[in-house]
Amino acid sequence: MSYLLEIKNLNKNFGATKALQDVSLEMQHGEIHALLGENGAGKSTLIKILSGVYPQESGDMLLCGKTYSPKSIVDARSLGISAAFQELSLLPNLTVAENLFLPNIPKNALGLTSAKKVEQMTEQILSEYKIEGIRPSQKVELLSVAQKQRLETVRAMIHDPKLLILDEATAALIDPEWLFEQVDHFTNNGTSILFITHRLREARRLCDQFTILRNGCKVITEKFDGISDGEIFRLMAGRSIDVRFPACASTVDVNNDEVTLSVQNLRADKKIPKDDGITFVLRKGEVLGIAGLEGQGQRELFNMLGGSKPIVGGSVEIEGCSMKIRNPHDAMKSGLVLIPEERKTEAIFPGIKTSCNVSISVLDAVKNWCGIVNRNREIDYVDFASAKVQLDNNYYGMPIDALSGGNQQKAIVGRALLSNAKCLLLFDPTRGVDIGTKQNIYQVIRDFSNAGGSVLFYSTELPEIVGLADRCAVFYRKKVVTEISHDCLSEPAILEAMLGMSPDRISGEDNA
Amino acid sequence: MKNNSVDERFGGRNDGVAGFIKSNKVTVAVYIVTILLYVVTLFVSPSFRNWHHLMLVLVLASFLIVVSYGQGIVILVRGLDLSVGSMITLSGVLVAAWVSQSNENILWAIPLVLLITTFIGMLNGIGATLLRIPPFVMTLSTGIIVFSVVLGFTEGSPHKGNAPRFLNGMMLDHTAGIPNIVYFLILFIFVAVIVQSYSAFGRKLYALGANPKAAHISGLRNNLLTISAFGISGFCCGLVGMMLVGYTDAPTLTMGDPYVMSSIAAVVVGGSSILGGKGNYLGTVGGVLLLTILSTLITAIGLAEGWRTIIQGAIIVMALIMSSVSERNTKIASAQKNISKSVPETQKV
Amino acid sequence: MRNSILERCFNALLTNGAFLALVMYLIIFIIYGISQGSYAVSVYGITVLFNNSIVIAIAAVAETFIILMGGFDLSVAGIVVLTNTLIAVQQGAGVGGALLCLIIAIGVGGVIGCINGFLVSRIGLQSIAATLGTSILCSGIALLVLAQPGGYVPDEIAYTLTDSIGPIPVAAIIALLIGLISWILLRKTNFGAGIYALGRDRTAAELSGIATRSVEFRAYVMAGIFSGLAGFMLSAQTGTGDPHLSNSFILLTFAAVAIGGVSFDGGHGSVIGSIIGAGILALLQKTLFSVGVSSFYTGIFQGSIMLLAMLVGSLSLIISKRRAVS
Repeated sequence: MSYLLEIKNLNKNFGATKALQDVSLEMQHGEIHALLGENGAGKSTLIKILSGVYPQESGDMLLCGKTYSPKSIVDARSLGISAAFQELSLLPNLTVAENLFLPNIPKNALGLTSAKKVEQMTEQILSEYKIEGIRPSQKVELLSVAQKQRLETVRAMIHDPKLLILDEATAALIDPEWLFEQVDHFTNNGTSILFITHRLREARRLCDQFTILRNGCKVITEKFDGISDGEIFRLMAGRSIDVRFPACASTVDVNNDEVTLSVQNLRADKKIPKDDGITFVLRKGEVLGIAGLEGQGQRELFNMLGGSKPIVGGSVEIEGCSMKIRNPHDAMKSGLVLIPEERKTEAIFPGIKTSCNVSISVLDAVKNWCGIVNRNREIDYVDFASAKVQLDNNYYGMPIDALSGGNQQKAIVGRALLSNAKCLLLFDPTRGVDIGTKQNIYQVIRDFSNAGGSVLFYSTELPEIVGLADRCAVFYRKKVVTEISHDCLSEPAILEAMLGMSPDRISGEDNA
Repeated sequence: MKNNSVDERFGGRNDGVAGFIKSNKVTVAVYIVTILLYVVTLFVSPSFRNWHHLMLVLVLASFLIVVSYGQGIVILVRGLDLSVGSMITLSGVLVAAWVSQSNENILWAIPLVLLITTFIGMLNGIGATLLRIPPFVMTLSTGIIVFSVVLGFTEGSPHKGNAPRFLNGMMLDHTAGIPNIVYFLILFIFVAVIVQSYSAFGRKLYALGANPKAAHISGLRNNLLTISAFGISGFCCGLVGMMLVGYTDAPTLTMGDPYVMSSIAAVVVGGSSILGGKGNYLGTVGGVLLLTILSTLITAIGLAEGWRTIIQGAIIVMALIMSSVSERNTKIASAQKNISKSVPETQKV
Repeated sequence: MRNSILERCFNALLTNGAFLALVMYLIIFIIYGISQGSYAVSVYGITVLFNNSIVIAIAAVAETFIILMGGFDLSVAGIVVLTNTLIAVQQGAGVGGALLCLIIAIGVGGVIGCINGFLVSRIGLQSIAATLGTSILCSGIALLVLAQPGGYVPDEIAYTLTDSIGPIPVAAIIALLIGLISWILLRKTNFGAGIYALGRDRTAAELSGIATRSVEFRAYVMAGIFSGLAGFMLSAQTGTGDPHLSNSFILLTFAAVAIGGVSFDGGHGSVIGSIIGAGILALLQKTLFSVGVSSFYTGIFQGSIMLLAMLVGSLSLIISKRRAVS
């Protein structure tokens, strides 16, 4: 039996990072195949090679038995593979119709693109794919995220591909049934689909088989039947038993210990009712785990507390004093220090020495009366932080962007430790770092809380929360729906609450 | 480990001169080219082989050395200052008009002029941050407006007032065989380097230029830093305007014009990235010396005015290409270094 | 109903830079008309207005191509001065000479545009820095071509192009032609869509299958050619060659683009706006003169209008973002 697509030993490197190593994959005609894996596992790299964005480095790809090596996206489309990208490749300043046909907008007899003709064609396509509420002449920036996602998907579909790649195509859709319908329609015509998602339920509903990638390597290709969600998660995370979480020195007394951070009805959006915001307390010496599916409000919480997103309403109290946080500077002054999500764009200062990257938070403490930095005192601080995060001092003189992701993250955590924080806000601090660094970061978090600090800790990896947190607050629909105490903390319990299957959520839906 | 020098603890770099060269390749290259050019000049024109000519080069370079500091600081924080020309002219015109030959008003006039140009610079910064106008457009506009004010103030006649004696003496007189301005330059460069490379403020500027978003999240006051950077540029322009008046004895309406493009050129040739976050002032000073000596060499050879300009343009393009190529190389090199580093690291874990 | 029309006009004022520029032009023209009387609307008066703005207008069109892409082109001034000196020293006369001049203008602009495009899109240099270099190169070559102001521009260019055909100034026809051609290039071709796409979001443009490097390269070539044409018109205006272009030329070019409502972040604006912007700069100068403001102070008004246009631009961006959210 011949395959539609065969990938053999595909490799791709970005500088020192091995994005894909010896990945092989086969897909049959008309098959819907799920591609699973954590962030940074190499899923996007694989689909970008397939869709012609990146060239492959080594290995073979065969499409319908013929060698396939697209030179560009347009080339890939004409050979029969097109993709809807997760990052939405639509241009907000162009119209719906123009976006649909880029980069070759149909022309009229004069050889010029004609808005009228293109809009007519678009109208037809939109109704064919059952999309309502979008005018072809509308600028894309006026569309909602869900509408944009549909448009992105349709844009990949109109080229009648042999293989359609859908990267997180349901992430913003409130009603994924639309997509499922389209997908069914497509596969009936013999098209294969490579479906990338974080939502296992959807993958199970649509796909026959799945492939898991981890750290650029293929882990397994398997049928969905007879394998549990837990097993799949385990394979994705690849966490072996040898990860040990540091023990806490003493359990936090929920009733008596003093409160470090108290958040009352915090809201990031005007549309949220006044008494329906985010509410929780964080005690001295406590690690509060935050869990939630993508986009349930946890990102907004961290950014609001860190000062990088304006607070629309609600109150933040630190050690009993009400705080006004207008910018990150305010947040730091009140003792809240954020380790942001995107290391590369939000945390590191590329081209600058690692030691200076760490010491940026203590510059004002180590300068003398005329503003000159005392390098001896500065380096003492850096040594102090590095010892805690176990950052090798050989790295001090290198520009931080030359370091591996794990070492960069150590430097960032070290910087946060130097900033006199009462409460650390860690947003997925272990993403894309090696296992050794993860272990370090766990230890740092525990040491910090044992010394009386408080930690707010969000992670996409549930075992981390279970292993590390004293308590867990679960987000669903932009607020904390459930708090799980230390004794009841388990992955199934968190997962259940994350999926909104707790009583709170049912009542929440009734209201809505 | 404890007995090691600060440098060593900062990155195992105790190899002195070699280490300095290694970490400041571009700066060193600029100075080598500059010295070579100077030697060529001496060969071409034997009459230049004396102390006086060297001092003349320094005096000629002094104006650009000072403007380029401000321009460099602004470029460091991802800005660009196109208003330097107008601010220089404004400073020269005001000083000549308010002080005029006698020294009597000098005590209030000089600080006031510096205050005015610094303030205009800060306005540039406010426009670029709070009003979110691109620095390019903001400084272009203030440049046009300030020049218009100068025109109105002088009523179009450039020779209103003369240089104060103090400034004449500063620019033209010598002390112990060295022009006074050279002493000033040494002091200026010393303070400038301290501020840019050794102060907490300077370090924050680098951080801001390297990644504004990360700087904001790390709690730096981005707006304040940017406004100060533009203020420094205004201050430098104020100084240069006075220096020029002292040197030529009278202000002209076009005295600041050449410094807009040449200050950007000097910063770029000196190895700073036009994208911000990278470069140092000593490199810029090297760039200024290179451009100045080149210009004297061209005069000495007797090439047409056009060639001087062409060569300057070519040098800018070459410096850009070289820095972009070397950037690419260092990225690859550090990536490779990382591979070799990562092996023992995984073994450790 | 009337209310909604008013509302739409108000919205257009805030969000459409070209429309705002047009309204500004009309307002200033009314002031100019009141102070000048019938001269303002005479054929001669209007011809002078067009002649005074046409060079900056074409240069602004050139600049618009690059700014829409999120870049800056400083070489516009260099190309204009180089074209001007080359035209002044060429020996041809009559219609043939005029044609030769046109070819020189397009050729010089195209070649320099290619160099810019190569430096920016292939080598990856920052556009401001690269074009600064080529601009200085161009003015150096111009000085070699013509060391002192002088030379001769064929009468066919110098007189015909500054005259009027019946009641219509030739410069107006040229402005219309240039506007039409560049509008078609930007709005009616895939190349144009690519420029807008590139200016807004480079990654998304790449993922949409746009050959970003090629679009970038071609945009610099187009900008070069239009700059060459601006030099051609400058020669027609002055009738002579001058290797020293006034320093304010490049400033006025950017001012015209800014006043025309083109966003300096890229991806938003139109050539029509830039052309009207150039018109406003010339008209403003005349109006200030006619109402008795000393010409010294023209710059204050030019700079302020430019800042005002930028502020309205960023305001309109905020408004459209808000609307997108709700």
